[in-house]
Amino acid sequence: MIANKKIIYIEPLKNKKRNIVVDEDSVVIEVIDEDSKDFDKFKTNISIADNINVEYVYLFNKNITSPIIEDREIKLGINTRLKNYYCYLGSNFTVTLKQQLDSHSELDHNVVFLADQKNNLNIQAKNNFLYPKAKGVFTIQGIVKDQARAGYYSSIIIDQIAKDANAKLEMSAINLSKEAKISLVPALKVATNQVNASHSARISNLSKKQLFYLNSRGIDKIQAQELLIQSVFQSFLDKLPNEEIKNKIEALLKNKLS
Amino acid sequence: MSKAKDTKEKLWGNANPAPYMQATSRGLTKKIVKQISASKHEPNWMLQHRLDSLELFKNMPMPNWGPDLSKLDLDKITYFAQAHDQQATDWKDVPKDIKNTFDKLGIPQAEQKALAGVGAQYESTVIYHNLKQQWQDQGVIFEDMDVALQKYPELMSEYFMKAVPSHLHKFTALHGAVWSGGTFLYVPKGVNIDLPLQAYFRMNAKGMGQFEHTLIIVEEDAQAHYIEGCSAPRYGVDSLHAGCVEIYVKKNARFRYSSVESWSKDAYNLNTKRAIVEENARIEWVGGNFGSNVTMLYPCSVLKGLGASADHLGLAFANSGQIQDAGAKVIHLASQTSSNIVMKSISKGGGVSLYRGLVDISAKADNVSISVNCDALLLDDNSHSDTIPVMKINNATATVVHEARAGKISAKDLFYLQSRGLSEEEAINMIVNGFIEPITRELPLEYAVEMNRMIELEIEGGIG
Amino acid sequence: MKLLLQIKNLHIAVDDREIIKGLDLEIKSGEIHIIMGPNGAGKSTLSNALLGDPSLDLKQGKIVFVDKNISDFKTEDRAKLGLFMSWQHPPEITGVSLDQFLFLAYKNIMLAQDKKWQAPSIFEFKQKLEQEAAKLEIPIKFLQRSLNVGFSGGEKKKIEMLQLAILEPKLAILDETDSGLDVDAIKLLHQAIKEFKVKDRAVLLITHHPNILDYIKPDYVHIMIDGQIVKSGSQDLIKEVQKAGFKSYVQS
Repeated sequence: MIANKKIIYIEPLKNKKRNIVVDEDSVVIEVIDEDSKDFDKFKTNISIADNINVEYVYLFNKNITSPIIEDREIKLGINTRLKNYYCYLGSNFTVTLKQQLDSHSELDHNVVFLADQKNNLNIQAKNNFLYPKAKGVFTIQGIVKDQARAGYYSSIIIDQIAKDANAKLEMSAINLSKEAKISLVPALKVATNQVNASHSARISNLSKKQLFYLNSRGIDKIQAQELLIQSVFQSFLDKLPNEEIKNKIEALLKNKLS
Repeated sequence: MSKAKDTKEKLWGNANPAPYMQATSRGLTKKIVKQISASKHEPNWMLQHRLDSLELFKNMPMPNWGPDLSKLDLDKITYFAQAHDQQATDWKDVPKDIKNTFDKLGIPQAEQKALAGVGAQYESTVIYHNLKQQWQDQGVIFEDMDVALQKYPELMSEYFMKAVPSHLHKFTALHGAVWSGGTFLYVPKGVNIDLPLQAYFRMNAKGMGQFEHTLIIVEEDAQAHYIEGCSAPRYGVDSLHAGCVEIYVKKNARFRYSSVESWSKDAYNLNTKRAIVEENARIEWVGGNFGSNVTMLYPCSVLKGLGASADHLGLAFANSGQIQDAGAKVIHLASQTSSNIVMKSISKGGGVSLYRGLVDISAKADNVSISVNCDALLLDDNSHSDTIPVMKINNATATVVHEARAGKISAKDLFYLQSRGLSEEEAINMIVNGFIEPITRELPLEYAVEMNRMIELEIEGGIG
Repeated sequence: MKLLLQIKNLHIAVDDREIIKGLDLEIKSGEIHIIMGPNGAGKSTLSNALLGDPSLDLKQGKIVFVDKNISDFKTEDRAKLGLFMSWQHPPEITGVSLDQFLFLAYKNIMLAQDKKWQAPSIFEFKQKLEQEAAKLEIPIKFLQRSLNVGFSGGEKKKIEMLQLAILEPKLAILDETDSGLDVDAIKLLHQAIKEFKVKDRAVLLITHHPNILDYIKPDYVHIMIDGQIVKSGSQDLIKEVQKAGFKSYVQS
């Protein structure tokens, strides 16, 4: 958390295409929920200037029956630090996220998602390292339950001139119900050898033994699932730079689980 | 640098003159397909299968993903030629110039003690088979496919192209129409073959396509290891290899399929390999891919029975101008199945090495466990490596772990070895050998040696 | 002294194979019971059966705890009544932090035993947790880690002890909790067991510890062989077993 930073609230979605420019140290908060217009497709372009420190919180919580497609593009300037905190809680949506790192820039991308009921969540992320000495750490955690479907495709693309690039992608998904489906593709495309790149993906669940253990501590199955969901979200929420949005997400989560 | 090139040329760059090429015309027509079937005296069902496949081939589009195949002109390829009519049963009966070629590639030594039998394919006809007596007595059938079709028609009609059907994609359809030769291996119930069986073949004539079919049936409780390796000389016209390997591993059986593929720089290697694994059975794929212009190779294990397991160990080396698009596919249809994939890729001089993997867990498969480990070593700045693992998990009780790394040889490691007196080249070779060791240690010695030698030659140009 | 646990003619099977073959046992509050027996006697199966392990089948008999027949009760409901088992091999659960998990368990169990109970805030709970952790010499940072992930066997056992201290069960079943612990940790454990007796709870300890009598004075000792309790007695029984082993009891 960065003390005394300017807080910028992005307006609710009004137009199909938006350009957001961040040119000073700040905490940016963007929410897409019932206050935003019901577009089936919309595009967001975000440009982060050079030499600044930005923390960007993005909450996607639109709950409409028809699917939504967001095309989102983020460009990081030179020597700039961007910390993303993306929380996906809505219903049916597809997000194409493209992030581009300039030289010496640093991206810390944290994602948490919960796909429940009959919802369909699809995220395709392309992270381009086009210039030298950029660094990116991507931590994606998700939970799928009920009859939901989640697909997360995240590729790290390191260009030939992006020497000394540093990229790490960690994906973890927990499947809580027999009918839920998960598809994960952590792709790594590297065109230079002066690079440090790795990725990992893990899919797990609550096993019978683990459930029995929690039961033996007085926690029933539903509570056990909630506990798991809350724990995953807690580690994400603890990183948020703004109390207000943190409380908002906590309340939304509580609502979803009850 | 030139010395290495010369050595490689000497090994692979020569070709025997091919007097038989006048017999067949290029391109693919119904007439040619009928000709192929007639010359082999095939039963009618096989001819029909070929014709049906030809129809599919004509109507199917080229794959719309993967490397660029636009330079592959399917009309310029010769689809069949019979170089030799007889099958030699003894090494001394094999014609001299063919022997010379095999000699250079080390076949006779390999045959001597360690191996049970060698099937060598010259062009599209198998000319040499030798099966050791003891296994023949046990009921093991190690035969070339054309002969097997005549001798064991029931087995063939039961299994042929059932694991890899013609309609899978354009190149399996092509294969279904023009397949010729290959290995038929049948291991009866409870039989354990401890020495590896091997077949060695190569392409020779300009623009010759190769469509051999390997059909392996391992009955319950049996165990065997089969090695396939190949090489082809350099030619200007694109050579196409659209072979097929089908492996059936029955209950409690265990089978290992090893292959070291080193095709010529202008070849297109578009093989389809698939194993169907039954209850508590196990398949192990151990492979090394070198050479060729374009390789697309994704051995696929279908884990059909409860508790079945698959192990995929692979190495791909892409040098300048080469694309190795390889990977592994495992489809978990049954519960308690497990798979382990270890892929190592090396790229150099602008070579592109891709790992494309698929693990698919069906909704009914409970308690599946999967582990995938891919590492890419980029030897210089121009190389390229992609890792695209797809995980489709439709069952909540599954545990899937995937890890991958990409990078270069650590300067620190190099410096350390050099400080112990190794030249830069020797140090790099040592490190690369260490990188691929998990795979080479699973291959029989002469293959491991050959593989290490090939890599040395590939790297010899010097790094950077 | 109340009768806390009564097991009558218990028969437990796994996949149709009987492991517990007619077992009887009574434990009153304030008592420390020890069960000893060779490997394969069914001791762990007994503890798991008391907690209602879903992979076990109760073929015959019944389990009565605090005057309730819990033979068909779900596991969490048995825990809520005040039954606790310290696991021999606690599973690792990634993604669930220890403090969050324990807070939830604490609230569930306390509320079940007293409807008027007021839950503390998470901060108050964390303080309590840190105090207990300090007593057991567990580093504070362990409390935020994923449940049991990356802990050694001994550390996992200490976490079990921490849970015992927080959840304050009526009957604690300790399944070889003292194995794999260093000398200091064992002292802490046995101190906790003694405190139990004073607090009028009960302990059922399954142990192999050669010098257990140096630390604890049990009220009853039972020898379990092949799914049954073949002999019950005082702590003298332990001395006999230490001298002669279990062989003489196997016959019956």
